[in-house]
Amino acid sequence: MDKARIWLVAVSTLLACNGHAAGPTQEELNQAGSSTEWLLPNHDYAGVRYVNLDQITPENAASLRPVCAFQGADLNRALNNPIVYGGAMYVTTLYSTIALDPATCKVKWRHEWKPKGKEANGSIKNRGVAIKDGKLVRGAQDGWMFALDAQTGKLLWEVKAANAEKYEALSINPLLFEDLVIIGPSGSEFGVKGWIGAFKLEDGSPVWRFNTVPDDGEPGAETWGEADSRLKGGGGIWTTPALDIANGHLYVAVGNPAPDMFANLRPGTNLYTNSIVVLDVRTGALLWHKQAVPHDTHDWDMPVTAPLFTASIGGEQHDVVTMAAKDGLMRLVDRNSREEFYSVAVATRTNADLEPTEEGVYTCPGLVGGVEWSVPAYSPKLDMMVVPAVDWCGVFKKEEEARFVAGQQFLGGSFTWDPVEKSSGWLTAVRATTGEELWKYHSSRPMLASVTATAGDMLFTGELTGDFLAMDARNGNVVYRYTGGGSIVGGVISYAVDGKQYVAVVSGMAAGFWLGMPGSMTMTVFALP
Amino acid sequence: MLRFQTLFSAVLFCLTVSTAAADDGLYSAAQAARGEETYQQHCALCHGARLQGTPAAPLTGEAFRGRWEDGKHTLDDLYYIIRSLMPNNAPGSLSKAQYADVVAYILKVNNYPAGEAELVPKAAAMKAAVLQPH
Repeated sequence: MDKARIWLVAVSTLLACNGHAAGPTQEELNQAGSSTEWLLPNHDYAGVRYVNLDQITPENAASLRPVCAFQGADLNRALNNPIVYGGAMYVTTLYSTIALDPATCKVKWRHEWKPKGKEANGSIKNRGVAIKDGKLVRGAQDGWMFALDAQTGKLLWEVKAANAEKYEALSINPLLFEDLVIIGPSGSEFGVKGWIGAFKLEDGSPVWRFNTVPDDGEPGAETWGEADSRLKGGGGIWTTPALDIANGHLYVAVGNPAPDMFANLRPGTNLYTNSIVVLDVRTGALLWHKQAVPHDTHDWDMPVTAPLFTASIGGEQHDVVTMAAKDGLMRLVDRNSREEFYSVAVATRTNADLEPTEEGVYTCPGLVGGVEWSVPAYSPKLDMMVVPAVDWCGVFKKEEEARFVAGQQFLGGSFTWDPVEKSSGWLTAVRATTGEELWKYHSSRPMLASVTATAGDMLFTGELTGDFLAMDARNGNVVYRYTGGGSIVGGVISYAVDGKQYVAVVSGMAAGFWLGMPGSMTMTVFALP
Repeated sequence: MLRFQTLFSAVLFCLTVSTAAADDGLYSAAQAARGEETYQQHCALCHGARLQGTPAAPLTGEAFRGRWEDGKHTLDDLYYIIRSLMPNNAPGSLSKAQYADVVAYILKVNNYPAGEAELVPKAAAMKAAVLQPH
């Protein structure tokens, strides 16, 4: 054997032992839709949340059992979207990044982020990492972004990507594509003037930035009235964008305008809040936009811009994008013509067209939606989308004044919630190509956790009550339920290790106002015996 | 030890390098006692019986100092936020006097001195008092 062949064999052996040391490659990420690992927060760039695994079925799911659990020792919000790649599962808490064995929960390494300064106030959380070329990238509440070696957890680089002094917090799973890291700050209610940007994967240096609330002279600035209204106008980013890899179009979900209920300060449609913004992923150039809730006065962000898929509608193939918002509507839009095929209510809507007054207006959805941060799961096999939603109505009031108090919510009004007993949640299944309702599951509390569909006609999700649900996707029947304690409001995924299918569920704390079940962040992995 | 400094004295400091500030106590002990009762009934579930936070923000200690005592917030800002946003499940549902009582209790827990007079909502003193460590 010559030296070159010996070297190749050695490298191959090393890769076999250590998973894919420098992966995933761009090609692997492009093929994430057909992967039986879980490479992106919503499984793939299109955000389809469908995995081609069929070992667990409605017929055998009652035999599911927890096989291991990892406790993160963290009482902050458990909103993590895990990633599974190369024999490791990557999860986060507010400060920790942890690599686990995805079949045994054994900890491979743990990295602790020490905040470098002021942490943006308000919505304290982290949603997870992104992975490419052997690097893990995530953000932090202090506005810093950093990369770790996926094999060892060693810090590779760190940059101050956002400004926590301006209330910018980096909470979303970034999106990695080619040599770019895509990320933007959340914090619409806390004084943010929103943006999304690209940074180099190699070292975190900035590449481009798009202002979701325009600067002076930028298109859309004219939709805000006085210039001052844009300075703390909101438009935060709190869900990972979807990406059409065929043309490099990035589908960004933009949050609400501020002050939320006091619209006198911001006459106009307030672009690009509550919109889908489509950008060239390589340059950040605006291609088109579509606003779900113009001139919002109810904090009805538009957090969902996935799944992207192609399907036969009316006898013709159409490339479509799903838009769902806290206004309780799920819309299917043609990505080329921008025509809306349907808009269906997936939560109760009452007085939805009325603005708050000083006396108060009873309105549904309430302050918390509608559809929150979890995108619908799409089963191409069943031509079906399944979306979680919240029913928690109440009275919106507008204040006499909208005062910005640093570090506090900039609402210019208030919301009086219905009693908790009147809150509930829905899981709604619709025919993906028509919007026709197929079935509904009613939960005693708001439904917030992500949903995963499989080739075995299963759905996996969870409830604020702490119940993990395995459901028959064809009719919504619960075939297995496991009560683990803490609220389930984050990631629920399915993947295979050595040919065996697993389901992993994140549980723990929800934000206090949800009045969920308390618990430390926990990752529980389920499998058949 | 923490204290108020009035905007007036802050201006004086800037202009004349004057000395410090009024530290007279803007609430009474009786008012803070009423505020504690209201707090335990309407606020403690989220902010903790000892104001320590979890799941909501702490109202004492380092977190409170970092969030409120930065020289940029007035006592009226604190009152405005509590009155307009709290309790979280029913904002604005307490009387103005009850909100002022709760503010007085928060001041007491954070070692601000009590005085003879009660804290009066929207009084000029509240708008002039800047929260800051000392």
